[in-house]
Amino acid sequence: MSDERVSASRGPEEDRTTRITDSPSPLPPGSSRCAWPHRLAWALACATFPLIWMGGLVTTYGAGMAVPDWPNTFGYNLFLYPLQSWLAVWDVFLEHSHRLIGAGVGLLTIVLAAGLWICDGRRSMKWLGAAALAGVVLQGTLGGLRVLGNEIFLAKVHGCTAPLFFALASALVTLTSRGWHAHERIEPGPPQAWSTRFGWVMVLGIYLQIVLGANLRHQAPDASVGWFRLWVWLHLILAGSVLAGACALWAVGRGRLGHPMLVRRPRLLAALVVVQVLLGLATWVVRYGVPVWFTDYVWKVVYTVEAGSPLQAIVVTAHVAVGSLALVTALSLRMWAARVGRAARSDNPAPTRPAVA
Amino acid sequence: MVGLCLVAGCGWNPPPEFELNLEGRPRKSVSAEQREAIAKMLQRLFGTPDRPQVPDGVGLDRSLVEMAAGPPGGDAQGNQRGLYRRHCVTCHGVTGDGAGPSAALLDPYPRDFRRGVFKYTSTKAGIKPLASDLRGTLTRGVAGTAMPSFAQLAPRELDALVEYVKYLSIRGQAEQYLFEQVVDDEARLPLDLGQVLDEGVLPAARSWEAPERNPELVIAPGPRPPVDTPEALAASIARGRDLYASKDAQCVRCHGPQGDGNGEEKELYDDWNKPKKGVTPEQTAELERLYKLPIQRLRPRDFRQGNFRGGVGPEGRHLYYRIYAGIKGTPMPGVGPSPGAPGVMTSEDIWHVVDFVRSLSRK
Repeated sequence: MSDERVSASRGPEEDRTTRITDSPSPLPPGSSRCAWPHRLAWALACATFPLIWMGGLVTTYGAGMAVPDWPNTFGYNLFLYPLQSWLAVWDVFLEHSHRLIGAGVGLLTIVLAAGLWICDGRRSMKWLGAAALAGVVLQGTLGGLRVLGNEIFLAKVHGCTAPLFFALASALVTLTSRGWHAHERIEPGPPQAWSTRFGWVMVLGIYLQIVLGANLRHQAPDASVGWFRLWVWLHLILAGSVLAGACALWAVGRGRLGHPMLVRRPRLLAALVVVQVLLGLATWVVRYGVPVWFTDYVWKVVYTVEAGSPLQAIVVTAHVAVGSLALVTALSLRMWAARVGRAARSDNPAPTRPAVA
Repeated sequence: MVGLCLVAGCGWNPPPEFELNLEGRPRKSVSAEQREAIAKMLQRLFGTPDRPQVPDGVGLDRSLVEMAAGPPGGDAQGNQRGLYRRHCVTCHGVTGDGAGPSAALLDPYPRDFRRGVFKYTSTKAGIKPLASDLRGTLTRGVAGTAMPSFAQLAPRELDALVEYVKYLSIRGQAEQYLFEQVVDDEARLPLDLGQVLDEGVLPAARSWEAPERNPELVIAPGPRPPVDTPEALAASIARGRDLYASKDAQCVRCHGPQGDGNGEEKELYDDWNKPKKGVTPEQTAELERLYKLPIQRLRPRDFRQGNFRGGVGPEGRHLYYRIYAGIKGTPMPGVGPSPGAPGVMTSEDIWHVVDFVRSLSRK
């Protein structure tokens, strides 16, 4: 256990530590870091990602109403639904698995919230744990109400809030990590104002893309052609903007950012956004076929869309999942940029303005 | 949450309703009273998207129609319902007007079922498709378009979708009759249910039953000339090339001498887009405003791609159907005999053209 604990106060470092006040702040000097919340946060984030995959598969296969009741499954308690029935019908398998993983994520969130409340000395972390608990309850309730009301709008909201919960779980991983606490290991670089401010833009842009994507995936049957066309164009334009932003962050940050996190994160974000754009194009192809202009002017390929094929399911769902991964990566980048920026400012305090006589 | 609502399109979704077919008509040309009379009559006869009805005397399987209609769902045994809304509505729309949410971005547009005209059939010109034709399109998909293959669906689910497409089609034809009566002929209101059933609904239903009952209306390909040796195949292809270029067949006008779809005829439109075409661009723009989807030009097939949207079939049988009866609702004419027309090619000739067309994609 001792190697898991990082002393925050060591001689000359002490003064510096007290000046670093990123929010949520590192542990106060002299206090020790409990490793369990970090492990639990990892477990939560790792469980939430497959949950997003499974939710994406449910939507891709149109299996959202495969189980008409909630919180029970065909009258059975969620955990007591017979294995044979669970595996017998594909749609039921998807929806029931989604619910089971969701329940697992809910239980993990309860344990994490309790762990933060008991072990973490920072008040903000206690409330973040409580927020995660509220988030998972809200998310589950949205999913349930979507089923009970057979309501597409709630399905859309359920699809939009899932990445937010994933982002919160991932933020908790960062905030409880050893690196976040280890002030002495942070190498102050030049001020990170650009990447800090732009980090928020990226987070917002990617989240907006997720919302637009959810809107395209959960179309009301009688939605107008004009709206769908508008969403698609907005999705495309914003995709180009996010791609440009991610590449700019990577290119600008490559030479300047000193901290390893701020070198690795932009690289990862750029890679994920490139993959995401390619998956987006592939999603259109496996869903609506190869555009005529492409076959006319680029490549005379003959492709038949196969509804419900494994290729269609994997590509479309991967597009959903990688979108969430890009969101948490952008958020992590933003958090680390702010963290390193504050460390840098505390090492090189701005000169005080001379008093005017 | 407010921001999310603004972007995501806020609002609880009421059950979708069938939309009146006002396309091609200025809105003011149909009074509110006329609209209400038509909508009420259609609802009385055909119900709503969530609770469809099959009018008496219409030979549709009610249980299959109900299985395809309504919101998607299923039971513990895997029995599905709401199949149309789950698989088709995004492109074809609730009413089957081919103007679902995604339609505007697709080329070609999804089929508008309301006219009862379907492109890829094994029936003679002017005749409705067989159920097996629709089922074939569902399982095969239409290569090079957004129409997917639903080969993974269970046979009963495919039957349900076929039945629902027929239901929407008969409903659309009945609606067309009602508009003609109420708006064009200004029939006295309220409408007589018996008359609408006898003159508008049942004739449409019978036109769907006709090819299923009368084999004369279905294309029966004649014996295929033997092409079991390379020499025989080459001779068939050469004969097919001559027929392809002949004045009677007129294939080159659209498909071009090389079969690359680059013929002299450039302004081609199918029956769904032709009414949107005016003499001048201004007229076209004005007409387009009366429709949900803008005008879309038709492209003759480039045979070199090997992409035959109606499929090739065993030994090119589906190509035979296309050449024999044409592609319904498009300028592609049929060359085989049909009720009231003698045709310009024999069965053997058509097989030769099939061999020639297929040879282009092998190059």
